[in-house]
Amino acid sequence: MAIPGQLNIEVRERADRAILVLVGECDLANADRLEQAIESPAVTSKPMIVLDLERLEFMDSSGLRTILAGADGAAARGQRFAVTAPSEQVQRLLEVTGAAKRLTLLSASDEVPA
Amino acid sequence: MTEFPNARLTLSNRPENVLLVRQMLIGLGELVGLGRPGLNDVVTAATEACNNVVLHAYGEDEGPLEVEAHVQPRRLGLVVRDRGAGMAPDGHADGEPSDGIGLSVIETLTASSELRLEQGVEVHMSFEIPEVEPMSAPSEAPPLLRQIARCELAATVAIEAAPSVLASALLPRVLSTLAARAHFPVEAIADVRRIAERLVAQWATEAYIGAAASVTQRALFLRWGPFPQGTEDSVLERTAQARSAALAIALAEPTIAAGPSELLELRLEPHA
Repeated sequence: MAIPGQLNIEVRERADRAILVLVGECDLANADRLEQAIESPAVTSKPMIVLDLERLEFMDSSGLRTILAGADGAAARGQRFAVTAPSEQVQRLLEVTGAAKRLTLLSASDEVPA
Repeated sequence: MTEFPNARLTLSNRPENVLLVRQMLIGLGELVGLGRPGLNDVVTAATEACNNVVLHAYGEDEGPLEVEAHVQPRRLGLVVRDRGAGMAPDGHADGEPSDGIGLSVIETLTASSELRLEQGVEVHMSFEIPEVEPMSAPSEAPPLLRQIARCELAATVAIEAAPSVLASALLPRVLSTLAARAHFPVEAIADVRRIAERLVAQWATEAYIGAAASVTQRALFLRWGPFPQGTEDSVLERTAQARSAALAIALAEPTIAAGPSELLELRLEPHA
């Protein structure tokens, strides 16, 4: 049985990237955990950060702000930053806020962006 | 929108409580046949309105967050309300800087939205929904909630439904989410959900029901009414039938007189 409201973050380290797989819901109550994960040394030390959003069932503007701040931080460090396969609700949020235009979207977390 | 709502959730403006609002709205949306895209918009917009109450209504203090739902034949109206100090002309209650994403999301995802300054701030939102049967609600709230919400607001979630059939969409979701918050084992969470479903089945024909739930570290207290006098034993028996061995159920205290009906309180606690 799925427990609503939980956010699980799994970090997968690859040679060229850190992949953060987000599962559950990211909102005001837990967006700080996403921020900490994006800012962790294992993630900031890689050439690229990829957020896998396929199983992120819900995200609010707090989560979105965290992702946009993460993208800005990565750019400042010279890292690439991308998201992949948003769920329906997250995709809608990205579109209505214009964030979809600011983020690099990959079709898979191991895809090499152009 | 002055009529009594079809559903109302009253709870503290803690960040973790916005999840309970989402659970209420998912249940309500499914009941009225709202598809996933429409439901996503309702839940997203309501979350942003609630976030404003969490972040801006009471400064460093804690205060009430109220969410009302009004179901009409082709329209769902939501009101998200605080009792705070009001909102500055730039749309922020406390002068904190904000990028305005939340309010922009509300405007985009709703059929209409309006900000009103009443005793606090009210965000009124409406959404198009499929044709549904009219749902009548009382012209005014029965005086139950005052008695139900005896606990500290910070630890209590009050749920009202009118007519009571709506409780079937709200209570199981809200209670099982609270049980998860109280770190109940998965089997006990499933039991809480089944018990809630069993309880609301008894309310199917009431004009209004009120319930309040509070959690401690290991137990969930549920108080609800109106309730026919003298039937607590049969309720206990029915709820016991709905559980596995994972959960203990007890009447937490004597019933509370509330005019012709009563309030009943159950204590639900996982076995150690």
